Amino acid sequence: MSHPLSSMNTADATLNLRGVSRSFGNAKALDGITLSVRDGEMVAVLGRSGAGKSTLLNLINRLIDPTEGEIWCGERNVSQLRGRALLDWRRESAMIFQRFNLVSRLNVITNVLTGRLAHAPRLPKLIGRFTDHDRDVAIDALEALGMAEFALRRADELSGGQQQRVAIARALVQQPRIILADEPVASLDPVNSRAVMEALRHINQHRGITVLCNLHSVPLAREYCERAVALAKGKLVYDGPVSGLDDATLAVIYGSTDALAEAH
Amino acid sequence: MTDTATSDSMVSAEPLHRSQFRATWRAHRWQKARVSLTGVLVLVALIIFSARLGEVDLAHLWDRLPRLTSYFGRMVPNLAWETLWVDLAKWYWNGGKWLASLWQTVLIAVYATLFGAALAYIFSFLAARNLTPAPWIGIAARRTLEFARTVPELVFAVLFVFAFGIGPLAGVLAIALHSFGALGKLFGDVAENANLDEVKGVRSTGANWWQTMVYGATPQVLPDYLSYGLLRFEINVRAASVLGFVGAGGIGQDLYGAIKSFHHTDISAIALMLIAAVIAIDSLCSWLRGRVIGQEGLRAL
Amino acid sequence: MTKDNIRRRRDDLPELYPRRGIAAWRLWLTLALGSILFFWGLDVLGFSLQRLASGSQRLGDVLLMMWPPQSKGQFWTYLNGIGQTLAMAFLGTLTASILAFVLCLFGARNIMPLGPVRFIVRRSSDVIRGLDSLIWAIFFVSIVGIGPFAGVLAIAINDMGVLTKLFAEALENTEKDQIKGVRSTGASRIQTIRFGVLPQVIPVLVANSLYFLESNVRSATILGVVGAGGIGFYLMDRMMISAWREVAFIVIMILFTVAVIDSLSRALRARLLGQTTISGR
Ligand SMILES: Nc1ncnc2c1ncn2[C@@H]1O[C@H](COP(=O)(O)OP(=O)(O)OP(=O)(O)O)[C@@H](O)[C@H]1O
Ligand SMILES: [Mg+2]
Repeated sequence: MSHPLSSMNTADATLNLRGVSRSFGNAKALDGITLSVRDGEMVAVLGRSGAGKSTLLNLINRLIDPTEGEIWCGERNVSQLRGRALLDWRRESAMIFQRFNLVSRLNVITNVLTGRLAHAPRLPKLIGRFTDHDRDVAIDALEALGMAEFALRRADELSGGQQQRVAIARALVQQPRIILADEPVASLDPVNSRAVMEALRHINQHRGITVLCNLHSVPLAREYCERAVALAKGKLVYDGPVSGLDDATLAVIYGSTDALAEAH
Repeated sequence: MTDTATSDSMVSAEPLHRSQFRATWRAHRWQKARVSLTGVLVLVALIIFSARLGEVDLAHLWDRLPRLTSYFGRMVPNLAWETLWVDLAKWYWNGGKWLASLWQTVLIAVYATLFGAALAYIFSFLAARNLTPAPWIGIAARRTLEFARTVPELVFAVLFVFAFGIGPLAGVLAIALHSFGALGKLFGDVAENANLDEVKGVRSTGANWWQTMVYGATPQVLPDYLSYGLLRFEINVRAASVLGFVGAGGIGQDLYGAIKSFHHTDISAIALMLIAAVIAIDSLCSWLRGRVIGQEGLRAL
Repeated sequence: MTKDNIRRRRDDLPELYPRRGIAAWRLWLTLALGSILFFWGLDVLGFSLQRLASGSQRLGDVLLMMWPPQSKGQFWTYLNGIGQTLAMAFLGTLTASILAFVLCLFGARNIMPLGPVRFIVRRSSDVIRGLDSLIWAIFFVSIVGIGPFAGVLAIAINDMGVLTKLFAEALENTEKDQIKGVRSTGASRIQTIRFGVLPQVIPVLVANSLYFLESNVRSATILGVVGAGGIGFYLMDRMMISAWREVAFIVIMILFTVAVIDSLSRALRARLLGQTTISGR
């Protein structure tokens, strides 16, 4: 398969977290997480608010550093990466955010092109000189998500669902091996939510990109993922197939029945 | 402040008995009066003390007032309606030279603002607490900016005239350095208020620090930066007009010369040119600022 | 995707790709002209690599000669100079604020109905602002003689120009609703101004005055250059005789003073206005 957006790396890309913890001051946001995600999986990350889901994804992308433990991707110790190697890793593990995190004053195509900043040559990009190849890739991604016609619109003129699709396009042009989606549908209506989840599934199935997806909704997790992991107060409390998410397990994950009802 | 407690009790839930209310009210008034009385006393003491230090002498000023009028009187040129053109030509006998100096003044301000703003742009991101690549870099950058904006332009100018020789080069460098400090502080404050979500989005793609600043932060801050830069340009035109006093170029040299040698009509001729130029530049800048703000629909300023 | 596809799209969506052909030429031409203009200006101003290099070397020498800073037993003289500077800034700003407060009433549209009066006030404040305070300082030195009094007058006049404009704008930006509210109670014009307009603008005026006090401390440090008193006189004097260690000492004293005044005025602003930011600037 030689799709221009698929990753060219064929080395083993199993993601391994080994006893990863992260504290903010005295509070432990994550506590001894050990987790393994195989190449090409689509995994839902569940947990109530404040459980540490965002922290987990930020750690994997290395936007923040773990206080304890190690993160490995194949043969690479991700938690030790510095400099250029670190930036390359961020490129390989693309992020999608709940609030889209697009640059509101830039137009759509430039927002997508920021996903190409980590690709050589880096210097001309400081003054907006992206290569034609970069542009091809960006437009291709926008077309794949049905957003090409908005290419010259300012990002903040778009609806939430449209912005999220632009954000996915930005993630795609990074040519990542993993996509880390932090509650990608939490600010969207049901129709847009499904569209975005479909897009993620499509990317996972057709491009072989691993997807880790924080979700608030258990039904969405059941529908789109085979596997779920769950956090509660920073600890891993469930790791298994979505079919194993019975009421007893959910009670453990969400604590009270109120929160459980909310999750349904 | 001290009187908040009493005023709070006045609005508290239970209706107060009238005499109680009056007592509270009186106490409140008294407290307020005491605070303002001390304020006034301190102010008066400060004024008297400063007047001694500042050698303020109003009687002396009154004595010298005739001088002021005669000074102005001598600055008014001889203009007669019949010989207007000849008189004007006589008044502006050195007009070409002065115009060149004025042009140099504006040029000094333009380049100083450009250099100062460019450097301030870079330093603002280094200095902003939420964007700086490392805390110690942030501290170092903020101290540098503080130093550059506290030392007056004219002090830098004397130093640079000494080092680089007499002429506008020293002036450009002096004003640029001071503007760097002043703008760097203002820019840094703007950058500290930037929306970090947008920055984070760019950073997560693997962009390096510079790329993150250019694509994640700059679009947000640019309108404010431009607006502050224009404001600084207006200030710099005025600053450049006096650099000549210490030999750092511009029209100040001509003005200083005229004042020192009591060529009164020259003084008024030069001052009028200068004022006209400054007013013209100010209105141009505020028009430009309006356009920047209008187009981008921005928040601050 | 095939090469053909890509070519077709580049033709379909040219606006998403860098300009080509004539359009690209225009861009390069503008850039080229711009840089020619830029370097021409540098040349006019006497920039040259050689001058910059030799100058930097001399600058480095001077900076080395500044170490270690020394007062040579003149500390109290310098401290007095600093005191004069502060006094000049304080009295100058105070006088300017009072004068500007009176004048701005004549320059604000919602208070002074007569257009010509407003025009005269506004324009004369523009003219005053057009000249740097150093020029006013020379002027007043020749009126009242050398000394800090000339500095006080220079600051007072110059800032009166700036503050009048700022105050008048603050007055014009007052909320119409509050004014209407007062007027609806049957208040006279003067009463409306007193109870409807002034309460809204006083905080802005005070904040601006304090802000100007801060910035005047900085500018008052150099008025001594033309004989208008303060620490600037000693600074310039020591520079002229190349007493660099004393220059460094004085500069450090100035830095210290400015830092103290800045934090004082910040604290005062916070006390008087409760954390509000300066609006109307
Ligand atoms: N930058 C930070 N500084 C201090 N504490 C933080 C920081 N980021 C997260 N935390 C804390 O870490 C814990 C986990 O936060 P996190 O954002 O990972 O939760 P979450 O599961 O993503 O919640 P939500 O569903 O609300 O997004 C919370 O208690 C939070 O307060
Ligand atoms: Mg979260």
